[in-house]
This record gives sequence, C-alpha cells and structure tokens, in this order.
Amino acid sequence: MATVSAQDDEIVREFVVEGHENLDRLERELVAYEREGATPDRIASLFRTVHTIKGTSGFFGFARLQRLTHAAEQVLSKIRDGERALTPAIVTALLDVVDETRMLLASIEAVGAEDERNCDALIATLCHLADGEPVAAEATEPTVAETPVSDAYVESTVRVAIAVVDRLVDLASELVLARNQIARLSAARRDPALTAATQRLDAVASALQDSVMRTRMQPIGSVWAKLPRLVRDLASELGKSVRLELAGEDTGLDRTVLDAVRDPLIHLVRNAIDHGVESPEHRQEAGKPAEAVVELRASHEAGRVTIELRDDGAGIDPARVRAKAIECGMVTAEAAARISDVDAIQLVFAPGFSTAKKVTRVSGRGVGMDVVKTNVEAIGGTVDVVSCVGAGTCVRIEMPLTVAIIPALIVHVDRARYVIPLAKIVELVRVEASSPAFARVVASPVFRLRGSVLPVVDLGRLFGATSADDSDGDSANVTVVVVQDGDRRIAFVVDAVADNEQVVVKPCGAMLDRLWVYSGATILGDGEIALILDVRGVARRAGLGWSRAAERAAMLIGGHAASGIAAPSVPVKVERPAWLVATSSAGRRVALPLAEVTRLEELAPSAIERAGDREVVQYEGRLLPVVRLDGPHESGEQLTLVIHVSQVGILVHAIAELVEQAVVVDRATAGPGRFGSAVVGGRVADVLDVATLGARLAA
Amino acid sequence: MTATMSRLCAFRVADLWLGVDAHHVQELLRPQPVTRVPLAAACVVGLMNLRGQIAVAIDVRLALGLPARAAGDAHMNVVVRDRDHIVALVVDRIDDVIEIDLGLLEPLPSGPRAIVALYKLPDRLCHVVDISRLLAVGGSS
Repeated sequence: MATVSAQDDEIVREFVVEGHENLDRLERELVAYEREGATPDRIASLFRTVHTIKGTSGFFGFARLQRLTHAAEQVLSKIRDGERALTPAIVTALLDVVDETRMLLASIEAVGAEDERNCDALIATLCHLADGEPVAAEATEPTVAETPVSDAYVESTVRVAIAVVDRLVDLASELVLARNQIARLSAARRDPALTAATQRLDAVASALQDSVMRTRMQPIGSVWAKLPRLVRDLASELGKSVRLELAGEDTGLDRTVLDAVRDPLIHLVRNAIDHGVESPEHRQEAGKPAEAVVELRASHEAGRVTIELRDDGAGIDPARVRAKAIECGMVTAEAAARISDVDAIQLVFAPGFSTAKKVTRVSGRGVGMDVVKTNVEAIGGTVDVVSCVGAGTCVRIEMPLTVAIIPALIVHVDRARYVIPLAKIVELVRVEASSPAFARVVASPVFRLRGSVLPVVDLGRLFGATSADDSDGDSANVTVVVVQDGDRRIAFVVDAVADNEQVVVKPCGAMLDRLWVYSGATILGDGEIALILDVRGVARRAGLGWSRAAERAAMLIGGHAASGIAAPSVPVKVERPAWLVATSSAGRRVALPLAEVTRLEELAPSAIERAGDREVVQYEGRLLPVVRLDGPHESGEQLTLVIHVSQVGILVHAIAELVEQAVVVDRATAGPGRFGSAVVGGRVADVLDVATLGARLAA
Repeated sequence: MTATMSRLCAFRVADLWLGVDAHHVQELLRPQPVTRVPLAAACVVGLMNLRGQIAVAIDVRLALGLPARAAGDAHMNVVVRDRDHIVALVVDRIDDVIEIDLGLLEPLPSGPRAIVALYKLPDRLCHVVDISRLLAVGGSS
C-alpha cells in the first residue's frame, strides 16, 4: 500500500482534482459515443485520458489504480486499432472503471492511500473484453456506485453563466463611479470622518472591481487546448517532427482579449511549424536534434499578459526578407540595403508580405503577420519578433488583461470631453497654435516633430467647432496628442488635456458604432458621459485614409529624404478618389488618380538616358520608359518622376498637391495622352490618359 | 386582456400621434442633460446617463423627417429598450397608454419606413412605430 509523504501532498491533491475532472469527461464522452458512435479522434482522446491517469498513478505508486486503468487502456487500444468495436458491454465496463477510479481517488484524498477494494473482477472483465471473449453477465454488475464526491473538487469550481458575470462587472463599475463621485464630494467637505469612510469605500470598491474582473478571466489554456492536435497534424502533413511545449496555461485573460488573441496565436503556431521549423534531415545536417521544439509560454507581468512563442527552427533570414520586400514592391533595393537586420525582420508585419517559398495549404497566402499585428494592436497590445538565423524565432505578444477598463487620457475639445486610450498615445506636445511646427504640405496640414512630418487632425474642426471658439482666452495654446495607428503616427490637436483615468468602456449602441469614430463611451467621475475616440476611425473620418501614400508624397515634396518605404503595391482602399496633381515645366497642371501611382522618385536630369529613340531611366534593375509632359523642354535641376502602374515614368516639374474629391471630366478637351479636363482642387487640370500617353511615346 | 389585445404607449410628435409597443417602454423622463455626439446623424441628440447605463437620445421628429422642434419648446423622453441597448426617444409630449385590439391594426406596406401600422381610435389615428426601423433609418441619414 502506497502512502504519500507530506511534500507530495499538494501534488497528489492536484492529481485527485484533475483525476475527477478527467473522469467526468470520460463519463460524458462514453455515454455520448455510445449514442452517436465513436470516431478515431474520440477514441484517441479517451485513450489519452485513461493513459494520463495510469501514468500518474504509477508515478505515485497507486498500484490498484494503475492496474485498473491499464486494463481499461488495453481495451481502448484494441478499439483504437480497430480490433474491437465500442460495444455496449465495453462501455458498461469502462463506466465501471470510472466509478471504481472515483472510489479509489476518494480514498486517496481522504487517507492518502488507496483503500482495499477488490478490483480483480472488473480487471478480469476488461481483459476478456480486450481479448474479445464473452463475459459472464454477473461480472460486470457489481459496482453501481453511489459515487462519492470529492470535497476538494466541489469546492474548487462553480459554474456561473457569463451573463451573470458580465452583470457583476457592470455593477462593480457603477460602484467605482459612485465612489469617484463621493470622493469628489468628500474632498470638498473636509470632514475627517467622511474622508476616512471614503477611503475605506475606495479600497473596498477597488478590491471588489479587481476580484470581479478576475472572475471574468479565463485561462489561456482554453485557447491552447486545440494546439497540440494542430501541431501534430501540421507536423505530420509537412513531414516534420515537432514537440509542442506549453507553459502558463492557467494564465487568466479577459474573455474579450482571449477572443482577440485566439486566431493570431493559431496563425503564429502554424507559421512557426511551416516556416520556422526545418525538416528533420535539414535539422540533423545543421547539428540539431531531429525533433524541433515549439514553446508557448504565457505569464502575467505588471498588469499585462505576455505570450511568447519560441521555436528552435531556421530563424528569419533578413536577406530573404529584404529580397521579398523588394519583390513585393514594398521597398526599393537601395532602401532595403540601408535597413538594419533587426528592422528588416519587422517587415514581415507589412501587409501582403510572405516569404514562403511555396504556397502551402498551411500558410504563405500573403495574409498573416499583418493581420496578427492588427488584431493584437486593436486591443491595445504589441507584437515583437526577434530571430536569429539558424537558432530560431521568438514572437512576443503583450496585451492588457482586460479591455473593459482601460487607462485613458481625457481631453477637452470644443468644450466637451473625449477619451483617448493611453495605449494609443505616443506623447503630448503643448505648442502655440501659431507655432511654425504646424505647416501645410500641399493641401494637407502637417505637424513637424523632431524631423518627422505627421498628418494633423484638428479634432475641434473635425467635430464642427464653431469658429467663434477660436477667440477663446487660451486658444493661443493647443495640445498635440501624438497617437499611434498601426505603423503611422498622427497628430491630434485638442484644446487641452485633463487627467489620466481608468475608464470603464461601455458600448454606445449599434447606431453610433456605425460611425466608426467612437469605440464606446464612459461615464466620468461627475456623472457626465465622454465618448471614447477610435484613433483609426477618427483618422479615416478626417480623410487620412490614404495617408501612407500621402505621407510619403509629403515627405518628398517637403524636401525630406525619401524614407525608402514605398506605397503598397496594392492601392490603398480609398473612400473618395484621391488625385495627384503635378505641374509641368510650362506650368500645365495635370492630374491622375493616386491609386494608379506606384511611386514618386526625385531624380536629376542626368539620370535620364537614351535607349534607341526613347528616353529611359534605370529603375530597380530595369529600363523604365519616360514620358515628358511638354515634349523635350522639361528641364530643371531636380525633376520628379511619377511612376505609373503601367510601368511608365511620367516626368513632371513638381508635385502640386494631393486632392481628395470626386471630379467630373470634361471630354471636350480630350486628345492624345489626355482624357479630358477637370476642376481638381479648385483649378483646372488635364486628366492624363496614361495608356495613350505611352502610345504617343512609342510612336 | 386577451391574446389579441396589446398596449401602445402613445405620444405626440409634430402633428402626428405615434405609438410604440408598451412592452418596450422602460420609463418616461423629463428632459435630461445630454452629451453631444459629433459626426452622428442629425436626429442623434446625444448620449444620456440613465443611472449608469448609456442611452442614445433620438429626436423622433428628425428621424421621421419632420420639421425640427423650435428651440426651447417642451419635450419629453420615452425610454425604450431595443434588444440589448436602451434608446431615449425625444418626443413633443406624452399621451396615454392605450389598449388596442391587434385584429384592428392596419399594417402598412412593408418597407424601410419606421411607421409600420395604423390604428384608428375614435377621435384620432395612431401611427405605430417600429423602434428598430426608426434606429436604422436614423442611423443611415
């Protein structure tokens, strides 16, 4: 008879609780399978469950339990291998095993040892069943148990409907609001007794809110549950050998956060196995064990949760990333060469990026890492990749524990208060409204901040502030809130900033959700409502939908060094058509849809060379035909080449502006290379017809 | 009350008598402070704090395309529950809760309109409003 030493006590206790949970599942599954039929996966799952109990029993020396579960495992393995069917007799016997095991667990829990139960009849029955021999009827009868229930197990968990938990979270939030109001009132009264009571209320409300938020947490293991299977299937499909190691399964996360991270995690694991892990042969050549290790680790850290996915695969080769980025048209070859290895790896997060050598069923379809990044950032998280060629890759995701309560900055705009999530804020800059940092680059207002040019959204203007407010006392000073939206920064201009606060996010209804400008609302300490700004929605509403191209153009025009990051090769979705307006040396205004422009390049006239009777420039290792708008007279020290999607470069004197508007083209002035004329940005411009412009060139 | 009977909460908006299913009505409120929602449709008056829950206040006149109420004119809030969220309908004044016989309800041809049926009372005609449609119409304008 095995007894348990004191230090093992805790482990055994865990084993008992887990055992009961496993038995519950086993029982449910057995009954369900009998009714609905068993698939190989289900049998495998049963087998694993029984195997786990057997293994642990053996470890602790619970011989009876081990013999019993071993016999059950024998039967299940025969079924798994197709030698036996899951007959009612077998189900009955297995259910008996469940009952017997429960009895044994109960006695282990009570006295630390198995009781002297006689399981031999049941074990004999199982052996007969495994061998396909008929079983004497009475042998399967004896133990219809009034199942003893483990105290530890019952007390450890209570099932509560999600709706009840959500209601508790709401009420706790209300209490926090009421507390804020009382704190304000009590501060005004200066009554020591009231102050003391308020402080106590404060502490209790905070603790209550904390505990209630914790009840909403679910272990991340609930998302990981299907990963072992996924890894097994993927690895065998790809002919790789992979061991998945999980740590920190019980790290709790808010449901909303958990939902947001589910798909990204699965994607990352797929990626690690498909791209990261090499074939066993390659691994052995490289002197690594044939079996790769993919490790997923979750932990709490300073109020946030960190998830790390580490593989010991081939790592991300910066050279390959650069080559791929150039191929996808995301960067120029020169720019790519300038990017450091660490930065190059970050390019995997760019939309449309994929280094998969071949498109497999698993991955490499060009959707992926950018979606992972977007999803994680949407809930205020961050993603980082660190990789070492030959040694492996580590992706680190950091997220808030919850999105129901967020740290936020309260700002004043047009005598109302708005909330900006702190997670989106990069910095605050207080400047005079007349500061030279505010400039206009062509049509778009920009804010210059330490060498970078940020697009500006004046929230007051966007929200329809009356111009009379501009003459308010403090209007000489404004605050610029620099916010991060994906890979770009935007300057929000507000009248003033108030406090940092923890705000409770409340939905404000489908009707306002459709505006995309607000991600919710909150009730401030004084009972007033403030809208929570959705940074991306505000930017889009302010017409910054195409800002990556515009930002780049602004940088070119503003005389800043080109960043080297080109516009995405796929036109950015525009809500209204955007037009690029350029001037020729002769002062002619021409317009073409921004979506058709793949790149703007500044170049010296000497860069234009002749090939046969044509003018060309060398561009990304190819010869790009060049069209001059005003015949051969185009001159100047610095010209701008507008590279069109049809692989023609249009030489212009300067970029005049970017205009976002619908235009009506007057065809009366149509001609070769000219689709017609239109009023763009308040003045007439020729709308270019690049197809015939190119034809004119060929002629 | 038999199964064919129901109740309408009736209110006045411009020169129309309107009614909503009384089951949806949570409470009737005097004018409340609201927080303006920039960039929302014109009929969205703002957000209202109803004991910790946030309600969108909708001006029924504007949502139905009727002329706006003159500034300072009296109005009331009919707070209704639409699925999971609550909405405050801003109306000119509140009438009675009236019992109606569903059999006598005259449905209007289906369409996107918020007024879905008519009900004849001895002295007047009551227009029955579907709240979800009212919100959909208001949201898209």
